[in-house]
Amino acid sequence: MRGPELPVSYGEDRLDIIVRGAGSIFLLWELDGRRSRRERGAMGDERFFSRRWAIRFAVGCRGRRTDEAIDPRAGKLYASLNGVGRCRAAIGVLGEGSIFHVYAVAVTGELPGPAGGLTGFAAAWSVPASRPVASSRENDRAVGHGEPGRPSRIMRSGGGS
Amino acid sequence: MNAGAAFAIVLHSHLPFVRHPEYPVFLEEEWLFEALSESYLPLLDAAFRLKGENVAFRLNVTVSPTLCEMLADDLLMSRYEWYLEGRLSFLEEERQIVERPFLPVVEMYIERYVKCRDLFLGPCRRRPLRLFRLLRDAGVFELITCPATHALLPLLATEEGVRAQIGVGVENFRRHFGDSPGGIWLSECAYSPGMEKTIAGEGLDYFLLDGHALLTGDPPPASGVDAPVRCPNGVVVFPRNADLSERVWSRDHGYPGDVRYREFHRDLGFERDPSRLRRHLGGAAIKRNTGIKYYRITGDVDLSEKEPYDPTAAESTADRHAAHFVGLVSGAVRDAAPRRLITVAFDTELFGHWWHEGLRFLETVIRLVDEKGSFPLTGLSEFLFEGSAMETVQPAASSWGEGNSFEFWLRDGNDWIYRHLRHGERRLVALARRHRASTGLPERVLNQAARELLLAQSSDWAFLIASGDAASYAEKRTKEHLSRLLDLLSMIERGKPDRRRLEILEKRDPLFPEIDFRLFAPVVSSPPVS
Repeated sequence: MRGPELPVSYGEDRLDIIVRGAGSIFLLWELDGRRSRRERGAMGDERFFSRRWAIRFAVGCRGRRTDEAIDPRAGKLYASLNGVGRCRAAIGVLGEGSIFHVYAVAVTGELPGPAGGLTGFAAAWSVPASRPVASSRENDRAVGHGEPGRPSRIMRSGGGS
Repeated sequence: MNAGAAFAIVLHSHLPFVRHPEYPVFLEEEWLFEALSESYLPLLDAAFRLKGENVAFRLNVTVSPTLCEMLADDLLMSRYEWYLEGRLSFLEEERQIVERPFLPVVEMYIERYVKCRDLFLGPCRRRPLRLFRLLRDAGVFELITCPATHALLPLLATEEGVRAQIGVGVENFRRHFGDSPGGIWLSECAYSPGMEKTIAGEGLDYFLLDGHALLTGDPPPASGVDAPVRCPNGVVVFPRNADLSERVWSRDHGYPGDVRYREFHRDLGFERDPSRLRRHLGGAAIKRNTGIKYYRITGDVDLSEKEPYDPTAAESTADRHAAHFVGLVSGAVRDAAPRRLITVAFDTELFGHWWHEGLRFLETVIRLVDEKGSFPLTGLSEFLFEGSAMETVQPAASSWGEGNSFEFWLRDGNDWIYRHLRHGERRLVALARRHRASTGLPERVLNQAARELLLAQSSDWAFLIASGDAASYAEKRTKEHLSRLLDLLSMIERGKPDRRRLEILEKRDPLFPEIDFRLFAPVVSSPPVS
């Protein structure tokens, strides 16, 4: 009694954050959108997935960014976070220097303080196929200092590579 | 004595929508029948008895929309009648064969099922909601609604999804009870900041949260969890007093673990010949739960070493526990400032189903509160009508689950469902916006898609998968509703609604006839009035 099979993917480049508890989040992603499919076609799945994939987190307006190495094929990650404010996250590939090639971003509502409760709605956006973000300054905008509750401007326009 | 403080009991009644006309007997349908026989009908019976004796009390009772739909369903209610007859014929046979120490227990069960049958066929007229309405009209019950399918709202992907769960819950309440609910019980008391706007938008005055949500709120209220507060938008929050509730709720630290109480886990269905079970109860000749149990908790011993249940000893224990509990509440009320309200909340199914003597306990609590006369047992709206100053607090996100988190509903083992649920929800929101003006067949397809999404969002499935109880059934239900949802959404996207397929799905789970998929469409802001 297990029911029908559901799709393995929905053809999107998407990152989703769901808040589970104080300091505890769950991330879900899919790398099957137009951009990922194009790159996988060009470089092959093996090379596409064997790059230095990471989730970059930033909590709060001035939150320090942290990168968590991931297996991009896993599709999910449980993480613990400290800090107050919104949690922003991006999934991407660490490149040379400080370049982070972003594939999708997501943001939650306010995270609690140490004595606080949980966060508000988890919201997420998929990113239209965009070019890699070029500079650390723009990376900051991407996952660290964007407008609360809105996808960062830089994620829509992309940067120079 | 503090004449200004009051006490409120909230009973939350909910079961997921389970209806399988494709099988003559379906064991998961018995969740409803057990709850009816052990909790809902005995509760209604006790409420009428107390009212008949002029005991002054009011209970706050939620009836979830999925439960309302099942209690109003012809097929399920006819099956319930058959369920009662099966139990009674089985017990009549038991009466002839059991040994002496078990005879009073058999008589107790026969009396209970006969009473249920009399109530169900008599005053209920096969529609238990009728009695909920009568008690509401008599001022005994204050009825409260719930999200449509008991979704864990903070785990949904969109505000539109939250609004649809709440909006369908409100509409469903109006259809079954004939007026608008005053408040809402958020499934598992799960809340995230911002939901109060949706709650106000649906015309609701209040909701309930675990006290933790206020104690960690901004700012924490000076009244602690002894009084309702207002959210910044004016909606009222009644906090659940976890300490008092725990006395009743906990098997380990509360009353239900007393050794004289009936043991839930040793069921007669695992000790009798399966072919006999089949002859009386229908279904396959397998060992299974019957709801009939002959033993008491006894102590920390193996199930096989439990001792026979003594109904008389258990009842007097329940009376003693009730007196103790009323003493605790009296102390809390006495210590509270004027115009405070101590609120406790429980699943209705705790009383009678899980804790066999729970209804005896509850009835005795109500009688004792009335006899003492030192504080009223009040309705939440009644308390609001009487008016009092309230602190303004922005509650923090919280649930009444372990660690006040949402982790039980999202963990290894059940986390796979959220990828599909959130995708389906976002896709329906997008289609609802694009096809807002749909009529005829496309409108029906979108309405059915909304039903399937709501059914898939039921927090019961994630809970059952995580707990391991009925996990395969829960997994199957989740996948079926998601699969149907994706199928229906594809029909709309391809512009090819399939009438035959739609009609099959509409008949399979015929709930929420009032549903309007536009609840999933984003709110269109009105242009400013010049």
